[in-house]
Amino acid sequence: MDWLSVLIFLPVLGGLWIGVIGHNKTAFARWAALAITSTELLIALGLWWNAVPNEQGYFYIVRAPWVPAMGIQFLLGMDGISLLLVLLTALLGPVVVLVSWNAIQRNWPAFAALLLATQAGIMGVFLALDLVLFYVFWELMLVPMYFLVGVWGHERRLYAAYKFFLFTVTGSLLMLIAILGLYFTHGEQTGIYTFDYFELLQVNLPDNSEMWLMLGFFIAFAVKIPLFPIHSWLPDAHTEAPTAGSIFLAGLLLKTGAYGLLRFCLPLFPEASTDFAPIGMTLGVIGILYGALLALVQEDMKRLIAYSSISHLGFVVFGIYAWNQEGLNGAVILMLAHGVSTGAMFAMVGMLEERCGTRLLAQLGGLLSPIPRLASLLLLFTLSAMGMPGLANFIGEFLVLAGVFQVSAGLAVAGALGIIAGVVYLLWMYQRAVLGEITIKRAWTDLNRREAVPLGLLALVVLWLGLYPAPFLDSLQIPVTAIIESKSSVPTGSIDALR
Amino acid sequence: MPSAELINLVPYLVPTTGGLAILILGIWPKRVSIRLLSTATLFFLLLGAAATLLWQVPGTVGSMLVIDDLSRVFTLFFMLGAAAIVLLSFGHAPIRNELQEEYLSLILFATLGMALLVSSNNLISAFLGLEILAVPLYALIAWQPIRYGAIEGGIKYAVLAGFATAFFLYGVALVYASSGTLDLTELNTVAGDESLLPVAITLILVGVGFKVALVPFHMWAPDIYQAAPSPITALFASFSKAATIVFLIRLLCLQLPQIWEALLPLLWGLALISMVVGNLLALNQQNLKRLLAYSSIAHLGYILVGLAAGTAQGRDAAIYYAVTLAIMNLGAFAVIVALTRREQDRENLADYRGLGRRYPMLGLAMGIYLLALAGLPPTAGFMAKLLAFGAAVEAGNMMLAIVAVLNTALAFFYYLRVMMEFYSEQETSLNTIPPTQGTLIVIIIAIVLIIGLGIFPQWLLGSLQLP
Repeated sequence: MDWLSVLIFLPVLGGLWIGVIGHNKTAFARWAALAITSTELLIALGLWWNAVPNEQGYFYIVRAPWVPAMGIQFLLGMDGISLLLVLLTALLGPVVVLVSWNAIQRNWPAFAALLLATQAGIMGVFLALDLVLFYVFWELMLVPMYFLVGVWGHERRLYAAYKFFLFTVTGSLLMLIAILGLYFTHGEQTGIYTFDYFELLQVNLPDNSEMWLMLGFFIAFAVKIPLFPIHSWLPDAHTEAPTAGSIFLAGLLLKTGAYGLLRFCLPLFPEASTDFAPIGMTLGVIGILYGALLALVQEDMKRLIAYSSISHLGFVVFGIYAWNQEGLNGAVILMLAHGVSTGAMFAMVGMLEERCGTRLLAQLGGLLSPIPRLASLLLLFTLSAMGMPGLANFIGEFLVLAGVFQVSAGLAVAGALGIIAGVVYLLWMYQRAVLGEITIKRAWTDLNRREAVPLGLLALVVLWLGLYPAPFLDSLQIPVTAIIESKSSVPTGSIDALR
Repeated sequence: MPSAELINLVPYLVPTTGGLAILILGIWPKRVSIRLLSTATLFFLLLGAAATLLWQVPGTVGSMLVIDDLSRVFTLFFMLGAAAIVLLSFGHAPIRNELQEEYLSLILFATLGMALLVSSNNLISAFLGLEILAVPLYALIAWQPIRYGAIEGGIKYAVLAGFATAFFLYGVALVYASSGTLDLTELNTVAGDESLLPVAITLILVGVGFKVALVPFHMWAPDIYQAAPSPITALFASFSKAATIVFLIRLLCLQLPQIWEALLPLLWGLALISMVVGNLLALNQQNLKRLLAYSSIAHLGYILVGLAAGTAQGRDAAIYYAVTLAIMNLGAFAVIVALTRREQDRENLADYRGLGRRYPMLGLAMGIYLLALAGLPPTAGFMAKLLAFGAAVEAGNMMLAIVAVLNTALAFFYYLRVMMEFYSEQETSLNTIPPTQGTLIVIIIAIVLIIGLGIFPQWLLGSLQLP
């Protein structure tokens, strides 16, 4: 039984099931969604447990013809990078369901169906190795997300949903053209017309077309990441999305962009990516500093965390384009860490909002004594997000900086400034929200069990990643080496001259 | 006439005799109910569809009609499509009470026109097909004369289609002048006047361009879409356009490849402006029927992106796209029919506010059609765009592909706007009447086809064995 397909189709079918028969059955929809997402998590853990890599580093491959006339296959594969991101996706599933339990008041069945559809799309993105299939999932995760933001969001939700959709769709359509360009170039060279990732890795592209095709992919991924200057959809989408939407956006959707860079941009277009690396790193640095600076002046907690995401994802891009062992390892670990810690922070902001009715820092304060459990867990995740040693983000940021330092000390210093700014805005946020005089007088309730369980789970992962990242780094060994090799296989000038 | 040719004639004879039979039933001294007449029409259409399955492929009827996979698939498609239109008309409250035998027979004759058009191998039979298709449409557009704009719409279409016909005939005359034959197969082989033939075909292209509303021949489209009763809009937005496109493909891609080569720059330009103008005009449109009209103009542009590639892939993409577009438009208009009010169609987007929540099934259907029109996977709309853009990229039309892609992104704007109205929290106060079963069947079949063809495009592509 190919469990990779199960990972994708279980949430799709589950979502349909809930959507079709769950009409007006809120309790049923909640429990069914929880059951399905938990099963996903168990399957993902099982896959991790049984993972044995083949020589290319892939644990599992599923291959079936789909549109043979055009060389489109149903090709799924899981290597170490996919595995970690699939684990993250599966982990955030039940978390999101539990967090939305009471927060979503209208039409739970439809909400659950869309949530599961989004999860399926994201799983597909992390697993697909046929470029058309990848594109299908890439678009598929947008539609339910659009509705999640547009229907269950806050006041300006329609505007935010629109903006989110148009930005990402424009980017991904350019990627579609690049995919087609790659397909036909490969076809003309070898006579085999296929969208198979492994086949396309072999293609030799003429110089300038390689750059154009790479840019097509890059723009699609950069919008998702989001890189400066195409980031402006993100704060709006995050602010307006319901808590569940924010967690999926920050925890997973942004990762699909970085994953795309790792999986497609670098290995498929090594030469162009090498040329592009300085620009990529510069954009990363700009993202780090710009996101941090804007986060400093935010009044809305969700917006603040959204800008901090831009900053953190800047680090990921930074590490990816450093293109060495430390940088790439750091980038992937940071993706996981950011997914967990930021996901948790969004969840907690949602919980705060349920209790206080506001997310504005100016109106919050002094929450430590009435709700100590919530406040102390928030502290844990805040510390992790700002890169406290021993917690998840630190490992990632440290490795990224170590990787970048080998390439350029100046850029590493600039990146480190971003960490310092992060300490400032996150601590300041925490101080204004939780410490000081209490401003809102009401009967407070601390975390209940339904809220504590998912947060506890995330806290555990944060500690695990921070204290003992070895198992995660181990599974990255082979794929990261492969990505680095794709760079060193780039013929250098002298070899060209010898030809 | 050999018996094989007679068998091949059956699918044309069925709608003809059917149309006449319905007319005769209408003047029968004893009153025949409209339900019975509709059932009889459906029966004739299904009979015609079944008869196409008996076709011996490849074959000809005289030298006028050619029977091959292309004409078989499309004739079948049009017969079933016309059946869908009959079902929709029956479920459409504003014209239900005005349904008469003439209406149904006109639909049968229009079907005959479409069937002739897709299989004609001679410019005269193509002309006949085009006119047999167009004349019923004039009448059908103006069907309910008391409706606001009905007569105006009918006249407008008649006048402009007359212009189109004139261009077409002028082209035909020039073809004859340059080569001395109107038979497409012969035309390919006889050595005629080298420079006159492309001009002649360009004139034919202008005539066809009017019929399918390419920019700059698109002026009539939004008015007519709005003026006609929704089932009829569905008929010419989907099936009549598809028929004309198929004729164009047969003319250019199958019979006159050298002319196709020569006209590529022209197709390139038409594709470009149709996409851009169609999408820009749709952007701010508040009337759903007009919006769909402009979006169809843009979609015709995408079809031409495929044709402008000048390759077999481009041709297949155009064929696939024509079918897909027909189904998507049919579906969208079927939803409009389903949500119609007693006396008239809902037109403004605001009239649809919140209906997706009140009727989850119809809302979901409209969502699927709109996402398919926008080109999201896994719908057939995506596959059509993939094939068309792929053909453009392969042919090296990079610019055109990129413009097409940006246009697709632009189009998301207005499709999403429609969707948001459907799911808006406020609800329109205008009441609706429950849709009939026939309408729901059409809607469901369209969904199945859109998803099915999207996931398994070889269902269609595999059944066409083109050179």
